[in-house]
Amino acid sequence: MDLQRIRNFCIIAHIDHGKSTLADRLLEQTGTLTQREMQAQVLDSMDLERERGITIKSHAIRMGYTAPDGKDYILNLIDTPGHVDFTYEVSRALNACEGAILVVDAAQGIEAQTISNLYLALEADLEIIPVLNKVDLPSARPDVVAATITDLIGGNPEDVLQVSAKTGAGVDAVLEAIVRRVPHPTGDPEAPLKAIIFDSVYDTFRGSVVYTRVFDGTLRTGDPILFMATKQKYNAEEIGVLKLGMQPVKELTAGEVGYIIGSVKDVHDTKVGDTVTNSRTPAAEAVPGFRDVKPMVFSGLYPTDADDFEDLRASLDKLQLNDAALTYEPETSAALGFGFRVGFLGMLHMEIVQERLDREFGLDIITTLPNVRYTVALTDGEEVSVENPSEMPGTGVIDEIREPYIKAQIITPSEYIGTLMQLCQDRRGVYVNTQYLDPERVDLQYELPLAEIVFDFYDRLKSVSRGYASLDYEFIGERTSNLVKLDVMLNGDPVDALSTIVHRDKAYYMGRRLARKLKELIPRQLFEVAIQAAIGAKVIARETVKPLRKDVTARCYGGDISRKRKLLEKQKEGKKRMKQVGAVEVPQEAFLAVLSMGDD
Amino acid sequence: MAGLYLHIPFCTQRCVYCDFYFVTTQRTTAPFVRAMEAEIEAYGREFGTQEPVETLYLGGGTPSLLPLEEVAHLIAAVEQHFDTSALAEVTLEMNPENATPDYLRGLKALGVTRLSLGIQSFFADDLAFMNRAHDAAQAEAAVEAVGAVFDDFSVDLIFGLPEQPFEYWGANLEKAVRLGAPHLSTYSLTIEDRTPLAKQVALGRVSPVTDETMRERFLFTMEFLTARGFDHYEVCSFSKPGHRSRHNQGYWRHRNYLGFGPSAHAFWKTTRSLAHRWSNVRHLGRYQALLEQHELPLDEREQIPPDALADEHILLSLRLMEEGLDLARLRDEYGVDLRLEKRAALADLERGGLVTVTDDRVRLTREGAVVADAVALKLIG
Repeated sequence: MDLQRIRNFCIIAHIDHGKSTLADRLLEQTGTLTQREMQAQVLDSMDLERERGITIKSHAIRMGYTAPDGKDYILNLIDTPGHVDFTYEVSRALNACEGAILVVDAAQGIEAQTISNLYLALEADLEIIPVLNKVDLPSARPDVVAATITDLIGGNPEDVLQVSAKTGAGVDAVLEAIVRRVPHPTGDPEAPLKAIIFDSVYDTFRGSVVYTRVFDGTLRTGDPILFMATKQKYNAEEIGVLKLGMQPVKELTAGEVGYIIGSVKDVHDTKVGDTVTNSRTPAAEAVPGFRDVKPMVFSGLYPTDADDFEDLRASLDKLQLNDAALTYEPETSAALGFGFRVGFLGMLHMEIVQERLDREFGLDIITTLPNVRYTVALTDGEEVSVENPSEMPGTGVIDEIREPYIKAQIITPSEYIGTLMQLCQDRRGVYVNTQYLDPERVDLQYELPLAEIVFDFYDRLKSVSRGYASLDYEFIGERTSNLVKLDVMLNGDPVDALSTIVHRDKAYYMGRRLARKLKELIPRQLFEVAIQAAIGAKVIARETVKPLRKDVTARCYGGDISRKRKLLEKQKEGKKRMKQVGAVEVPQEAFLAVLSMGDD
Repeated sequence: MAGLYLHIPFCTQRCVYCDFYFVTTQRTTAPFVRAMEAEIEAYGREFGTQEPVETLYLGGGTPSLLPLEEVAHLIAAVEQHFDTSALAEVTLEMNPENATPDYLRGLKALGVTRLSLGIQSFFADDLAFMNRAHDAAQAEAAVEAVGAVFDDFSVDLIFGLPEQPFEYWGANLEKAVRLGAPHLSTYSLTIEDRTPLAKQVALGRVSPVTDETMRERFLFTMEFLTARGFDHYEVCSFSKPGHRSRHNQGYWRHRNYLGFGPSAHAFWKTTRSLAHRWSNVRHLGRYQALLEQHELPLDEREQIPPDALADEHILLSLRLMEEGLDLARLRDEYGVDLRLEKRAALADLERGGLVTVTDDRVRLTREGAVVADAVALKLIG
């Protein structure tokens, strides 16, 4: 394979800025897909992805392209996930490329995720091809947006390509730019094999399918391979390139992108960022940058119906096959029974998992309030890691509690700076910097406890900025905070699943709000329900749900019985979705009460 | 021992709260009565010999709109096609405006033993609000007229009307008792779907009273009537000794009954585990047309699964304030052992003063009667 005729590139864009549409046009114009095969946004193959309009897992596709000079090129488009939860995956996909198309909506301008991904691309030394999309929109302001881009990456505004992915206008120039401006890969086909895993998916019949970019050497069908970080050995039973489907080839050489199948039954053996080498003649060192991704956000998942526990386990097992970042272990809650403590990369990841459990496995689950992992230094010098608030040790033995902090980058129209700064302050944010990207757009930076953004921060950010602000964040380490455990009791019984860790200064306020919210959510019952919020033994808030005053439909004669029975049966079904805490029936929403408290 | 219910779907005007099936436009009732005779005959062929009929109940609608000879035809049809050797009670629902001495004496001569009088209130503004066909004077006169002919009769009263002053309710009970009614059925105003009242509520023209108000009125009713010698034998029913409704007790005791007429319901338990409920079409014209074609006017029919049957038994027998729910019978006949399955719930209910559990029976307390449905849900859910 002539390295000079290969271009490996990716597309960086914000949600809805047109990445998928542009990808469609590229596939069309290179004839990779015929019009008949064309399905809108082919790269997003999971239903969920298509609905959300974002790409969750990266894929790759190979296009053949005949340039105007008559020469044939191979263009490998490596798709990248576009959300903050998957920054590491993005960085690995970028690593597999030499160039990146930076797509920016000519009307909306550049957004936070785009900038952070752009920085990742610059760090990876990629050639950036800036492209303004949707230039045909009446609200497009290509000159201003082009100037913002060149301020960030250098170059001249007039070199920024202008396209309409929707109509296809300007797409040929993008293809030309890929060939002319993206460097061809380099590498020695004779050197020991060195290839990076930039993604893997699980296939029920064939095991883990590894998506890879070869840097050095040549991988041939049947070669014994070694994953250098996990130290697992397999045989490359089938290798191939990725067109719309998988197309087997005999070898993949330096500079090429393709897939490997080797009967790998466990996706945990094929971690993104790991290096594939030949186990007989291994590379001296791995491609740098491998990291074991660790969950940052934890939540208890419980089946609504206790009988579904094994089904939930089986479903999580299946999800994990395709999602190495998902972790879970069984836990027991006095209030909710048997369930799992599940770790996620972030909030989007958590939502995706919940939706898939619901949609693909039909499981009705209760999710507890998400929390972060705390490191607790005990007075005896030991340290413990707490992933479930109810496991927080007693205050007497705690020396200090550390919590994860993030650095948030918020890109917003300048008119919302005030309200966004207020939001960040309310969430214990520490101001870092403000930078004007152009006269109307600001890059606002804050350091915040991750715990303060795991639930409604993003929604709040969107709502106070009328949807215009965008957010990106990175983990910057742990810091000591004055935290306490806030417990909730119903008629004197503690409800472990409602315990939360909060900052001491906010505990009274949170306790009162939580008690009030629970009062709204817990329906009247036959008996009075006392709701208490407490720190340790000290009750800091109390509310009462008054008992039902009347519940009897007046008459009950011959014509009323079946109607009445059916009504009771319906209520009985509704009751099944409640959890019994002592004598109190608690609806599922109550376990997420803190989530719905709002910031009022 | 079975009960028969005959639904007579004619009214002169529409009461705002009523969700029973009725028509107000019919000029003649004769074709309907012929259809119902045919229905009685048809069911008589299948059920007539299975169980003797103990009670007959003509409800509505307004059965007192039927001329005497048509009432006679219907009773005759029942006697002809069913075993009435044990017939102990024949009730007819009557509106006050129909309570003329001749009509009353005529009914008695036909074998009617008990009347259920739809008074609802003795106050003119209440009656106007409900769109009843009688006025306050007729209400009072009717109770006296009925009492002059029948020993056994009931007065229906409704409480919790929007804007109804508390004194009205006390006065209504007082008057019914003073006029000598040996049985009272007291209902809290229920806003049923698809009634003129529901529409007025939806439009914001009428605001329903609070649960708290309903509760007070109901507790007052129980207090007031029991203090005056009435047995509170079912959630909504109060009677002087010997004047209970046998027919209605059949419903709460989960006995078999057949229903004739449009929208009427039936329940028939063939064996311990095989029971059906069915209902008739809710349309007078279709009802008559089907019977003319020698077809049963069936609308829905379901076989009741054993667990649903047990649920029914719990919710029905709980309504019987004195008899209560017989735990041994529930266990032996319906296969549900509440002492095992609902131990905690029973204990909670008893501790909370909503039920008593004595002699292996669960009985609602007065506080429990106010939330009877929620108590039932606790025991079946």
